[in-house]
Amino acid sequence: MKAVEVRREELLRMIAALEAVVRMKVEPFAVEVGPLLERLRRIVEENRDAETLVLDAEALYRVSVVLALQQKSIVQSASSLFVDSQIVASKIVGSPPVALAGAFLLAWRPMVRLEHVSTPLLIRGYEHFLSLSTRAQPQSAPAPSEGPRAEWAFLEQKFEEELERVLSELRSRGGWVDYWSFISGAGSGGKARTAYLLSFLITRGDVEVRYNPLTGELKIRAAERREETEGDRVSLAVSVR
Amino acid sequence: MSEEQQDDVGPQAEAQETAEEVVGEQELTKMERKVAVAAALILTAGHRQPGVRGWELRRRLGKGYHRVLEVLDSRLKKLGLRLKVVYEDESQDPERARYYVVVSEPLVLSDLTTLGYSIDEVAILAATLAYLYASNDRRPYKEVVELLETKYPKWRVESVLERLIRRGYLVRTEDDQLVVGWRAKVEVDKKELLRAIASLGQVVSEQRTAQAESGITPREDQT
Repeated sequence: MKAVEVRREELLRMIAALEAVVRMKVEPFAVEVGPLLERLRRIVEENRDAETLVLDAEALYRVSVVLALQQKSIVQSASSLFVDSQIVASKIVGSPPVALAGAFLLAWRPMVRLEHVSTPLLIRGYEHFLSLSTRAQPQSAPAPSEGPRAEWAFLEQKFEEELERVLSELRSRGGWVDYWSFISGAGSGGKARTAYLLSFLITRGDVEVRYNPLTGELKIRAAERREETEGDRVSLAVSVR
Repeated sequence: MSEEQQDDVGPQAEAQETAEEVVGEQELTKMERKVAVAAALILTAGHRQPGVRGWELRRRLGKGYHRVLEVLDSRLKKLGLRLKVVYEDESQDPERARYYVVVSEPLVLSDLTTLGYSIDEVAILAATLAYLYASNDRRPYKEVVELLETKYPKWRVESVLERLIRRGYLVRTEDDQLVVGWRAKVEVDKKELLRAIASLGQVVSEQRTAQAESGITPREDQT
């Protein structure tokens, strides 16, 4: 039992070491893949229980990722002429700035680009500006000087009007109406808006919803108006200790 | 064939030649126009990153845009410029690649001051890029600053790095790593820079040997 526990810990340690490479915390060649695979094989041969096999598969997956990283590292090293970062650092420390700038100039080909506007471009822009229709200002909209409260009140009023419009349309249909056909009737542009407004009406209880889980049908209808009477009111007793 | 017939064929052949010339000129004009459009698209930069993608050029110039780019490149060479293709990934797909115009010959040190560059700024860029290239294109920002502090005060290093990041030569990631930026990929030849940096000490030692042999004392700025 103790041997199994030791092997499990060893596998977990291997996975953690490989994970460190995968997460770029350690250099890809810090892990020696050959001996690691040898050890993995021996562990699996000695113990073939489900947990060991799962951990072994996990370790093998990470080994494949580490191998891919090692290959990538070799390709990048080849493209950098196998010049080590320590060599570069020592060259930087040992060279005057002018020499560094001179070395850079050998490898630098600055990009050429133009940044200017031309008269034809400006004329086209102006023509486009003139072709734009003037934005209509709603007459009843409050002036900015009236403050944000007035603006909010105006927007709320507009929203209530829209809710009322949708509700009266649903009421005019009479009875249960298919939800999807109702919102599709508003056209492609208004579909989302009608669905949005309906969600408010449903939450407020102005619209009733009936869903048939067998057929998947979703029906809606305008709720009957209920007059609030004294009898509907209920008192709740709350005890405070 | 009778003489009369030959007389009839003569004007026809002339007309055909003239027509071919006109078509040839039209073709040339069409190509000229496309080259001008390609140059305008590649050279003109808006607010976003300069350079044009292959698919954008194909959309504007048609399927044969590679031929147009070849002609443009040959024209640019006469001006000391050239077309540079930077591929997005290892697939080397020309449609997704970006096309830029770069200077074809290296500049000299005196050009730097003429163009408004500071030698210190270029030296910091050279050192940073070489260090990043030798370290798989990324290093912790702090480590790069520490290396550059051997030459310049920290405030100077940080201000220059900030400027280089703004210009697109370097990128500082969220996990505080310094990475090679898009502009360095366009403008700097990685192998050439590493070769030049690696041979820096050799050049100095060769100069010293030559000076020692000729009996000339080296100046301070050459050491």
